Amino acid sequence: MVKPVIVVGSGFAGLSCAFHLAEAGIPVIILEKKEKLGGYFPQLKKQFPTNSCGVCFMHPDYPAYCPYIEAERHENITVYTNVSIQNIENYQEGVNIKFSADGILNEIDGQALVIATGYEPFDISMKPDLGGGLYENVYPALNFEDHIYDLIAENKSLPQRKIAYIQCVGSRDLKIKRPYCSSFCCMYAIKQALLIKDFDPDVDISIFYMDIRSFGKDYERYYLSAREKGIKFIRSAVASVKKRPSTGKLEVLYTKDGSATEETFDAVVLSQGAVIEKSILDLMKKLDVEIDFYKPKLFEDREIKRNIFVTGTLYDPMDIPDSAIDGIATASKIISRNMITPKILAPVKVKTQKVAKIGIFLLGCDNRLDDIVRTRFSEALKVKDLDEIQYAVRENKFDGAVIITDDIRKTSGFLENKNYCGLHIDSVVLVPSFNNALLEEISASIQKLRQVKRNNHVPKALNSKVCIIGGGLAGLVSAKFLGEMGINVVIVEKEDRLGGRLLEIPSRLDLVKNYIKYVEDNKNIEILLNSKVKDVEGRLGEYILQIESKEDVRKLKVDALLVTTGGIPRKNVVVQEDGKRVFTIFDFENRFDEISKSKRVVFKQCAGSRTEDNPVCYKVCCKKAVMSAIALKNKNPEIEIFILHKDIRTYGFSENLYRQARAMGIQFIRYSQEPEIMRESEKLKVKVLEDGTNSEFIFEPEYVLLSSGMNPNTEEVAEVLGIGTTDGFINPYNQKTGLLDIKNGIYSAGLCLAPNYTEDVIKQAEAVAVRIAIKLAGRQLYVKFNTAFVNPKYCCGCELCVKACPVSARYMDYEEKIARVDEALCEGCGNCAMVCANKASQHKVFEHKGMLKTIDLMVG
Amino acid sequence: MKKITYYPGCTLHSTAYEYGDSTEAVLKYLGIEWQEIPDWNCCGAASAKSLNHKLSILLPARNIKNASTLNNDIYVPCAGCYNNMMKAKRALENAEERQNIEKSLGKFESIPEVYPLMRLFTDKAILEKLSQSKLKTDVKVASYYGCAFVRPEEVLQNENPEIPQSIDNILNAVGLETVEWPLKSFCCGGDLSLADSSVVSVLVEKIINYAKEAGANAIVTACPLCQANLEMRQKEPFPIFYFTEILGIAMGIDNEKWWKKHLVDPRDLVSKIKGGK
Amino acid sequence: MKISEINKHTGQDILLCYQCQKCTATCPVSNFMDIKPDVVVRMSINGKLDNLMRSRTIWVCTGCETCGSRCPNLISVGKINEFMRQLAYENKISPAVKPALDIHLAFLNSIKRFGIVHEASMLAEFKLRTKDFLSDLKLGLKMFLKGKIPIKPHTIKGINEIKRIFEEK
Repeated sequence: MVKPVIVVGSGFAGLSCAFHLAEAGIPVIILEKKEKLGGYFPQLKKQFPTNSCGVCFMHPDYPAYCPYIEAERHENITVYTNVSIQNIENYQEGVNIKFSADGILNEIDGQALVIATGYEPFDISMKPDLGGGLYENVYPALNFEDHIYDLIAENKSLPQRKIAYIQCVGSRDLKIKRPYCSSFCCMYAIKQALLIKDFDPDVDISIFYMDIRSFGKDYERYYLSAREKGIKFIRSAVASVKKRPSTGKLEVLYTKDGSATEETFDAVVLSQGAVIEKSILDLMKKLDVEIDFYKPKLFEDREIKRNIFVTGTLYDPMDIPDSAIDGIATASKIISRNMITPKILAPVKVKTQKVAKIGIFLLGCDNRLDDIVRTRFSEALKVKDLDEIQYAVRENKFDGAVIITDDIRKTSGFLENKNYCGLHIDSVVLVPSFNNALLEEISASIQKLRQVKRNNHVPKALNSKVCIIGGGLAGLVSAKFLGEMGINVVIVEKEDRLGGRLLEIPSRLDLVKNYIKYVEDNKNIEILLNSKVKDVEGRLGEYILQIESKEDVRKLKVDALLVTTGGIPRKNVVVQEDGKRVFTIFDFENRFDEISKSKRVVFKQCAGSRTEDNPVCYKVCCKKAVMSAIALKNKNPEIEIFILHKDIRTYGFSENLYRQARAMGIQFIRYSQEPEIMRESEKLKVKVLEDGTNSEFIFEPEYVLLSSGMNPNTEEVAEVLGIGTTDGFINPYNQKTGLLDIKNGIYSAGLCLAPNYTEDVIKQAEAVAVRIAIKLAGRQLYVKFNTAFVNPKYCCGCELCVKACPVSARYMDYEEKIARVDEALCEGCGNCAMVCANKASQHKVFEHKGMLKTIDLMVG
Repeated sequence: MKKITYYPGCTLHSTAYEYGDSTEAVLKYLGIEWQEIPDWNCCGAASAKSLNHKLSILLPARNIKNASTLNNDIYVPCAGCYNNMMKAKRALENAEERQNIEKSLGKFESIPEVYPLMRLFTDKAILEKLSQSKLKTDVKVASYYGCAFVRPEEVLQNENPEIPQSIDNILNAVGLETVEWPLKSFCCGGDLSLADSSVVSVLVEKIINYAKEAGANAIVTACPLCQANLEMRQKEPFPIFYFTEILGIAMGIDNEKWWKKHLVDPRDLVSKIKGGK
Repeated sequence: MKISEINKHTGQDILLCYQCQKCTATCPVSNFMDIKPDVVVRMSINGKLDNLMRSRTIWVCTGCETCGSRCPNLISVGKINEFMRQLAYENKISPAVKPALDIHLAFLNSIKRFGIVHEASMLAEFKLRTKDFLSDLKLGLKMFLKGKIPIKPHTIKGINEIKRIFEEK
């Protein structure tokens, strides 16, 4: 019997972790302190940078229902709400936890504990200088977001015409003892501003900031789009927000062009930071884990004690995509201590015929509703639960049912591909009872059922084989996990050795070599060096690759592809780069001794980036420059170091590294005009005009280090696979939660996807490996019931539907000259049905003739 | 009978005479016995610390030493004096600095507590006595704290400079309504009063405007320099009181002397405040 | 002067500044200063102490400490200004706002003579130093007539101790 994993907290990280564990066959117990699951994300209806929701993509098998419904209905997940933890004890084989849920005491013995309790929003009443807690038109950002959604829904304009956002409220502030950066506030403020501008373009919005931290994938473009839409970004901390007694408006005091200025606003929104709740701090104390907000990392490792993990924003403040991946990566650590026990599905066979006798059931509705329904449908039966339905079906020999219910959870069994109550899933329609057109909908549902053709559902067989394109760190980490799970891996690497870029970095050599050794030793992993994928055909479960090496060409059949082609260091980013005195930071480690002996060094951040023709932020350079500068100062305290930057993006707890650097005397100079690097005889000269103070600095450094980032290595592979890129980085299926999924069957991780730290590349690689493994370990794919089909009589072979399908579930049968649907991949979106001019392509549940009849009934 | 040590500071017998006199009258009415610090000296105000750090600590330290012979807590009505005394007190709490101070002044047997005068009125018994004298009037005032009573926070640990409440509480206790306004601890210009009064004029204008906009008929303060600046550099007549003067009115012990000392005649408003009684 | 010295005298770490410019905004008198508070910090870090000692800034600063109460890196520019005033005086640098120094000197001389401030003689000395006899003449007269500027000085008993304190270095 597999002991369960206990997940505390049901936000993004917690639920991602729980779903992936559950899908891998490991029982999960979710403990949530509030009454409902989800943490803060249910409140955030639109997220950056998509300005939409998309949380369902977090589920390993999407499209899924909203995560908190999925969590409650998953057979491997048990949910407790209103939980208060009494005690936690960890021992050799596991963890014992005592808690109360809804007042009842419980005790669980588990194999592991995952603490994903996330954050609380900073209490703005701790900042009365900014009006927090004093004035009703000074809003905490979370509340203001609700306000925005309400206005959008009611299609009203914003009553406040001029708003100010103030960043870093509750973060980066020694005064209130919150020295770290909360990572996501810059982005959510921009998101709110963009949402407002979208529905009410005349609102005047100013965002007051110290550094804009838009470091994630495509976030810099999002930030620039905000600037282009007329949202003002003002680089000055706000000294105070005061309410003018005569007008009731708010006066914001800040520095403009070097002098104190006061500007009036109708409302001020304080971008609250992330705070760890007191009960969690107490829990950490009980567990003997030290919490120090001033350290560069809050926790050294996710596994803080044996079998006890920390993940998500609690580990380090992070946004939704990172939290989801963090949760999955944590799941991967636990899964690798077990094995994946995938679900094995028996094929479902039904007699192909139309529904004849339909029962109408009122499940748990009130009497008033019963009467209303029974006036039109006198045969409707009132039932308490699904057992009564089953009894009635047997008794009356129903072969179809319309169930009117007030709570979808009561009918959760119907949401799975099962025979339930003696009925087939295709023969049941669920109708919500709170419905203005209830009677019409019931008639329409009956009509719909009459047209449905029931189908056999045979799972699609898989070979359980993956091809990993690119044998760098990401590829190796994923290969390791997949190999451990018994999945066959073929690594296609274009160079003559595995290891990728990190082989050039001395401090990372051991890390890479360990993975290489593992991969070489594992018999499930095949390595093809000096090879490239030249052609790809097919879809998930049936990819046929053509792989070319110097010696031969071979064809390979795999279920899925993982693209981990990595990155190429950007060199020659500025004209003066000579590789000797002016060079990129990639040579820093190798030339450390030489650099540390100099008197003065200048780092130039954002070299050749964050410009009009390259609006990309390479994410890691700020922290890397800070760490490099600190290393230099440690070696040679006399060295003078100046870091020229456009923003310093040391997010999360690495903000403490930024402070450490300043305390060591490293100076940071912000520029908006490109600094000049000149050579006068033998000397290097750097001239920079500081933003804000408008002071001119002239340095004569020995070296200028350019922080230039890594370009994604995707040109060839993107063309071969037919996948889209932005600025060269691979476009994922959903930028928020489906970050690692590209197309159905194609995945990606690492630097080809987005700029990232080594630790985060490993995290992504572990997470993507879990997602792939879960899909392939069962050696079969579910076939869903609500898929599309092709009526061969009308298909003319124009292939429009093949192009229209977003998940490559359609393909041409060139022998019969018609289009076909791979039911295992079809997600039932209906795109194909829309583009088909002949109505050959139809959706099983929404067949067009029947739908028109149904609409007639609905309209009355 | 409560006993306190009282440090009036230079101005309370001269330029802020009405503050000193009203404070003594209020203490007497409330039955609080006080003794001035024996042979007290000037705390150094802003001048000592501008030119000589050591001097700025030793001058108030001498007062603390002299006060320690009396064995009671020290209450200070003048903001500047309070600020300097607290700096000296913090220095004395540091072992190394205490040694240096004792080298100059001799050994300190004890170090009494130092409180702003307002703290006295947080005592339950005293508050009770205060609320017995309830004013009944529509007059509203703006409490003005200035800087020296509230900043720097780590040194004074008195009240939150962004949302100070002590004077408001005292005035509310005697039934006088105080307005909510945003410039409670906004600097009046301090000792630029003489060095460059144009700066003070700008600041004072802003303070008085906001107080008026918030519906106040007068400003009530606890700092002699603030009161002087607000009176001296205002444009139109706007009464500026010391909080002890208001207490005096409430207790019925106010004195015509005080009103005569004001540079801006407050007598009309005083009768309005009384008139409702 | 080393930064560690400035830090010691001002009781803070000026290197922590991240140029958010909150201090310049928050300072009630920054618009009257030639070197703004955020630049004062940058100059202190880069050793431009001479510029600071010769600036109007350090004499216009009222010591209100609003900057220090709001700085997210716990730096008070007021403390730096105070230290620069002390240094300027020690180094006999002529102040950019002379009346500020004049009032301080007159004030301290009064303490040295009497142990407490005798406004009448103090103001007289101030006027002699500034050579500006006309400003606030009306105001001064009004105050005198209201008895706010007593003519008779009072010397404290321990005046010798005060004189000794003044001698100390």
